[in-house]
Amino acid sequence: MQSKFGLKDFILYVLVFLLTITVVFAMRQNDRNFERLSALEQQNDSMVQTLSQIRDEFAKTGNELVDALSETLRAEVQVIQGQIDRLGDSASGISVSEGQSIDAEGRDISWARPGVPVVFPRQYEYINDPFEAPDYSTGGEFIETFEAQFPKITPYFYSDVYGRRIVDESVCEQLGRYDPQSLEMVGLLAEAWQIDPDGEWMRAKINPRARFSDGVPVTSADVKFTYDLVFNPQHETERFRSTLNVIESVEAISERVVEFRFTTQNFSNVSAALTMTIIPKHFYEQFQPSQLNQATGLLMGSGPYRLERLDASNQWSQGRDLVLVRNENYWGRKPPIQRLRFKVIQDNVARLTDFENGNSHMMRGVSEQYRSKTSDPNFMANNYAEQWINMRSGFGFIAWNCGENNGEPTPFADARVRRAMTHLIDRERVLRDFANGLGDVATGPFPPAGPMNNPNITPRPYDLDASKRLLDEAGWLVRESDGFRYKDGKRFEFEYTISTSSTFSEDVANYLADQCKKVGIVCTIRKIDWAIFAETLDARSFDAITMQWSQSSPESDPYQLWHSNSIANRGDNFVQWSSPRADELIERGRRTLDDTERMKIWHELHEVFYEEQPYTFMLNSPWIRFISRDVSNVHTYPIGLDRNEMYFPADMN
Amino acid sequence: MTTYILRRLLLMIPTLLGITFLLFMLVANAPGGIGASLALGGGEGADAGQNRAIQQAYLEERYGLNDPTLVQYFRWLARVSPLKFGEPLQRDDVGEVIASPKPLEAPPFFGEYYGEGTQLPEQIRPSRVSTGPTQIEDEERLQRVAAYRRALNDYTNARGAFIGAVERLKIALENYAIAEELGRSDEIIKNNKLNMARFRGHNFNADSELGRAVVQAGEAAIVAMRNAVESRNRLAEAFAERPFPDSVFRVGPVPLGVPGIVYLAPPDLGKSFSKSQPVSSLIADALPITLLLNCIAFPIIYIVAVPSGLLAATHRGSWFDTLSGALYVALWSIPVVWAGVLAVGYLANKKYLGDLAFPTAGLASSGAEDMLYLPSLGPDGFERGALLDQLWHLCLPVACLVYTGFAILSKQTRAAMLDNFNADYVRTAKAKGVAHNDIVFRHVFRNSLLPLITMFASIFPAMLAGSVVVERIFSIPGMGSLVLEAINARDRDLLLANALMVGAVNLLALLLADILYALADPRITFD
Repeated sequence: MQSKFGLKDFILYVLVFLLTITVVFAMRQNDRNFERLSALEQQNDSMVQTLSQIRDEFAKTGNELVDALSETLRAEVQVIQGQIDRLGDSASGISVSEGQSIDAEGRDISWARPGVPVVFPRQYEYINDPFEAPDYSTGGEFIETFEAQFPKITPYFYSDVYGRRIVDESVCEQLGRYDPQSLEMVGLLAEAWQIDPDGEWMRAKINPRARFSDGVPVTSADVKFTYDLVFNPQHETERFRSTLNVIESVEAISERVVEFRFTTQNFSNVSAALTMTIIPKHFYEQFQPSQLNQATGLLMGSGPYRLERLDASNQWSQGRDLVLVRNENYWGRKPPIQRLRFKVIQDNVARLTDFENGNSHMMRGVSEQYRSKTSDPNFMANNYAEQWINMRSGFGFIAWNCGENNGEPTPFADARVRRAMTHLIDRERVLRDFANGLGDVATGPFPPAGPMNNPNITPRPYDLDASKRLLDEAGWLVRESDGFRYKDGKRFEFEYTISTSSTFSEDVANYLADQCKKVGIVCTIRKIDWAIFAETLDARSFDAITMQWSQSSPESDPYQLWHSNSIANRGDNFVQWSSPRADELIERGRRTLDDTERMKIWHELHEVFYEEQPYTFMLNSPWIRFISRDVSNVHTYPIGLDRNEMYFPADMN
Repeated sequence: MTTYILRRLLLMIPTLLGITFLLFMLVANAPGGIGASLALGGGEGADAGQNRAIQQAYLEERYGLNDPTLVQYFRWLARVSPLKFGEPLQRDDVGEVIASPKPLEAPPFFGEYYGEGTQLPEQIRPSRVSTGPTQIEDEERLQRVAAYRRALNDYTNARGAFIGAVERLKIALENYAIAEELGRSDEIIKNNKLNMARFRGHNFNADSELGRAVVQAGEAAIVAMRNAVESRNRLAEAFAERPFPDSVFRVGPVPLGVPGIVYLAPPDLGKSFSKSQPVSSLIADALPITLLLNCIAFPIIYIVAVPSGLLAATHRGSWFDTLSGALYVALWSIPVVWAGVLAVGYLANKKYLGDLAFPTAGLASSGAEDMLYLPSLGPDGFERGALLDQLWHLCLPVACLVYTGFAILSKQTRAAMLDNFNADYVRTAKAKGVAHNDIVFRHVFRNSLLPLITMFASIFPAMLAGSVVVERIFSIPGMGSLVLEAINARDRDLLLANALMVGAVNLLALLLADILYALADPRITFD
């Protein structure tokens, strides 16, 4: 008999196949359940630990309360005593007595160096307090969509802006932070600090309440450990070394007091030290340098959020959503939102569709999307569309090479020519036609939302006649035979370098070439790959080039970009602009530690830029964010956004 | 047959070398060069430029980017090759390869410029051949590891100082050269490097201010180098003590190879410098995702295309033949980029499809990690579970991967079937009165399978390479996305590892196709 593969056999095989698959899936399900169970157990353990800690602390407080009370009383008595003494001594003019342990308001300053005033800064707090709102509630999951993969979230080992937003703003904290509204430095981990009038050192006192998310107090040893970790050459932390190397050394004076010494005297030293992210020693010291270098998700800090699961052998890695949960042990005021989820959608259309589907609460928009969505009433009913200029939104510019290119001075060596070029460009039109009208015309290199910017300066207007007049003055005269401008027999020609990847700069370049033709200048456009931009700048081999800068702090040191010493020495003064007046202002400004005095100097410097136009400052481009109306208390600040303030209103949950 | 396979396998080695060499040179000669992605931003203040240059030099030294391109290529080859020569490398507990410290390069312009007559200490080679026991006592090993780590710490510090000193010297030389007008500034610094040729034949002027700065920087560099060489020698000694296990393939306890001369070891694919993670772990993360996508997509292509090609052949000229042919070719001609974006814009938009809308991106919903794995009937009705959730996410990407594939395969099947229908043996079978179905399936179809087998072999490598476009549109972190990121960042090691892998799989698949050919068709032999 012939054995034939019949219908019965087929059904049998299918059944066996299905059975196998089901078994495999059931096993997977079991595994997952087990994983979840162990995660819950872990959570439970940490809860129990916290509880016992609290119980211990309660037991201690009984005695400590008495001590603290008597301490306060004693301090108060001393203050009164001091005031009485001072009243008596006021005639003889004694101001600061050596070795004082408390100041006039009864605060402990025994840790400070004598004779130098101690600053008790305002502490960081919510600008728009959510806790007062009638529909305030806690909980909910806030989902934010990023547009590119972020490979690492280990502090000091990450390399992109997403790392910064997760690590430095949510999970870890610094000694101080910029106030979102006023951009002043306010205290975060530090409750007080003391700055040397000569700018050589700084002392900071850490808030005794500050705790890492596992309950261990933040101490000066952690600060020192952080510094040593960054400067250990076995660690791949180069990116941070170049900003932190103004700090010469960090010394732990006592458990809560830390002293920084600086290499040079410069106003920016203090903010560099204060904005250094502090990481826990007891956690990070258990890893070898090679482990830290490879780590993708070893993230722990003292901030309001923490990683949902921190497991060194099974870390978060790129490609998965990153989930942060609220740090229930947080030592400060806990933010309302319970969980933060960060996901990545690279495609522009997909990101917006996903957001509109309600699968995300916040995303970064591009200007075309902003324009089309703000006219869509449906979209606006469900979402906020915010666009604002803040500290971090950059500015675009055209840099004119004021020195030599290919061994010959460019036409832009003459300030009058640079001014003429600025008058040649109708920046209002560029803003309207090429940038969807978002942003405004820039007047200088300082963030318009920050204190360095001189608000009295208005942009140079679009003025063809002024431009022609300036070019004539500079000796570039129109030759009647062909209509071009010549000086010493040389035609006014220049090469305008742009990046291949940006359509905006291409539009602007074509516009600029047209405008140049109107006044008799030949402008040819050169497109280069972004990868060789840095090389072109270092070699100073361009006539004019366009780029975009952005800043990460309200105040930055102009030396690197604008001082004539930065033309050589591998500096970033790639336009080779040298102005004795600017040099003098920069040198004076860097030494001036007083804020108001220094701002006056920067404002004056801003005027020099306006006069000399080493760059034609084009547009300040705003941040664009779409935020779902499911979230309340959404405010835009000069610093950006403050996610910690936002909450899901009560009736939503 | 065996000799044929062996010959083909041996021929693969030069082919792979050629592929990687070509790619390496392409990357090296692209504008910006290999290290383009390492360019650092940031830094403020007077010394920021200098500091950045130092950090840059440090990074270049770490990844060996300051060596000539050919040297870099051979070094990469030596790391990747499973066949290694000389003293075995070691591997620490994290899996990081521990190599002996590289010799340090002397600072430029010794002698005439500064430090005349000084001798630098000799740099030793760790030369102890390990013939000793492979398993050292735990305690002793830990002591050696600790000694090695201490030496490494000293050395990295000293080397960092040395690199900084050399960089400062170079900047001093650069300033000096510009002041002495040895050339234009862009001639003196070429590709971010000091162009030493410009100094040739120049009489050093040590009395000028910048000349004195050069002398000072040079002497500092010598001191730093002496320190660095001393601690390097100590590290080399610690390395020769073999604190870590050798990185060698073993059969049981016996290492494969002759100790100290030649041995087999696991290849080291290196480290991605844009992500500073080992390349192998990046690929291990991305590959399963791409395989998952393709393991679903390719069976679908075959299940749809082969039967419809078969049907089209048996009903040649019918409406089904014309219609399916037209449809597949039409689908084939739609670009995936366009279709993908449309699919996201419409099929994934709740405005059009309501709750039935497909997911826009990724492979799992937010919160899928808290779902049960299998679908279940919970208290809130039907719950989809992580498994169905993932399948739901796979729908659109798989559709985009699949729709262009029908045309070629179904046309191929149809053509092969028609060829065989006209063959003599079919006529004979018909004359003998064999049933029509038996003719189609047992004779014609079987003989038409040949081209389908070989086609699979050529499709298989594409499964590993991943579809760049589809993965990009749907934000799927598979091999395609990884390659794209590597190209954008000029990530040398990641790119080369990818090329090596895809190249090897391609060659293997071609070999497999040839072997299958011989197996399926007895007329073909390779002897």
